[in-house]
Amino acid sequence: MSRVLGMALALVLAAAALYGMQHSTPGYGDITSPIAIDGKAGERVEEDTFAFGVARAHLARSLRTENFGKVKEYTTSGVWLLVEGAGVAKVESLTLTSAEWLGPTGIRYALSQRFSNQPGYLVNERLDPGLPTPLLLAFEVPEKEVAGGRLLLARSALIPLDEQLRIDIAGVLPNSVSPSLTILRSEGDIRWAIRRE
Amino acid sequence: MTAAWWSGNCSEKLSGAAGTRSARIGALHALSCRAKREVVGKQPFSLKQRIYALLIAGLGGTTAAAVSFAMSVYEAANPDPIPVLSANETVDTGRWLVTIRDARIGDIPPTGTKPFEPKRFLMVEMDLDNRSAGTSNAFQELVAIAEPAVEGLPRPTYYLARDRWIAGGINPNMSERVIATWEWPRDKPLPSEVRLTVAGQIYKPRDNLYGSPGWFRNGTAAVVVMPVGRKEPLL
Repeated sequence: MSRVLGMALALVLAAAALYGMQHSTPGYGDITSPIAIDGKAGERVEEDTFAFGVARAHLARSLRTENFGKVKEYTTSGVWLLVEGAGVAKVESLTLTSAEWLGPTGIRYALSQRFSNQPGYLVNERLDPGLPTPLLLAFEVPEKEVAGGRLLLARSALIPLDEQLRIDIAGVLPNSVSPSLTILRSEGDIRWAIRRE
Repeated sequence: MTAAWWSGNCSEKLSGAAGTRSARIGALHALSCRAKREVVGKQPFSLKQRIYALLIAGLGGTTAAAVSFAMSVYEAANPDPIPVLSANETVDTGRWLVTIRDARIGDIPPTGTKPFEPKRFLMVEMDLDNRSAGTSNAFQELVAIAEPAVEGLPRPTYYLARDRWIAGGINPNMSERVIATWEWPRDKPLPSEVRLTVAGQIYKPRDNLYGSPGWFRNGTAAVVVMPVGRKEPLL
C-alpha cells in the first residue's frame, strides 16, 4: 500500500517539477531582450555607441506645425508628449531608429510617424561622433500613461542583446497639459522652436 | 582502475590512498553501487513486468496520437463557421477590434488632392483598436476584398482619417479611424457590393522556430458584406 502511495507521490512530484520548469524557463524574447541603462532627465545617459540627454518635455492636446507659412494641425485622442534633448554618437555616425514611451502599465508607444519631414526629428537626424545634435521626439499617449513612464532609446529595435537607454523624465514633465503647441522652423543649431498658444 | 567506475561494474572494488583522487572516485563508486543494489537489486524486474511496462507505454502513446489525429481530422471536416457581418459591427481579430463603417467609390483619394490622371478609388473606412501591448502597423494585412475578385488589384494604401495622410503604426488603446484605399483598375467594372474578409491574429508566447513571442495569422475572423456608395459623377 505504502509503495503504491509512494509511487503516486513521486509521479505527482515529477509532474509538478516539469510544470514548474516549463513555466519558469525564460523564453527567447526574454533572453535576447535589450539591456537597459537607467538615467534621468538633465544628465548625460550613455551606452557603448551613443549618448543622449533629455533637456525639456511638453504636454499638449494638439500640435501644430508651421512650415513656410503652411499650418498643419495634428489632433490626438490622447495627449502629445514632446521631448527635447540632444544626442551624440561615440564611435561612428549613426541614426537612432528605435524610440518608445514605456507607460507605467508596461504598454509601449512608438515614436509618432506623423511628422515625416520635421527638421531635428529623431529619425531624420544623423548623429556624428563628438558633435552633439539637438533632437526632437513626439509621442502620442493616453493621458494616464504619461506619469511614471520611461523613455526608451536604442540604435535599433532588431538587434538582440543591444543596449537601451531607459530615461526617467519625471523631473522635466510639466504639471498640466497645454491645449495647443506650435512647432516652428528655426535657424541655428536647434532647428525648431516650440511656441505656446 | 577507473574503468570499473565508468562502466558501473560493481563486482570490482575501487580503492586508493586516503585523500587522493582515486580514493574519492572509489567512494563515489561504492555509493552508486549501493544505490544500485538497493533500488534495482532488491526487486529485479521480471520479463513479464518489462513486457507489461512496454505494452502500457506503447498503448498510451498510440492512443494519444490516434486521439490527436482524429481531433484534427474532425476539426478540418467541421470548421467553426465564419460569422458574416454587416457594416458597423465589430470584429474581434485577436489583436485588433475592427469596425468597418463605410465603403464608397470616388475619384479623389482621402488626401483630398485630385490626381492629375483621372483615377477611381474604392475607399473602405474603418475604426481600429489595437489590443496588443505595443504600437503596430500590422492592421494593413487584415482586410482583403474577397468579392468581387479582381485580378491584379494593387495593395491598398491606408490613410489616417485625422491627418488625411498615410497612416503609420497605431498605438494600443487609442482607437483610430483609417481609410483603406484601393486604386480600382480602369478596365474593371465598379462593384455595388463588396465582401471583405478580416483576418484573425493569434498570440504565441513561444513561436515554433525560435521560441520568441509574437502575433501570427490565424485564418479568417469574419466576413463583412456591405453595399458600396458612389459619388456621382464619376469619370
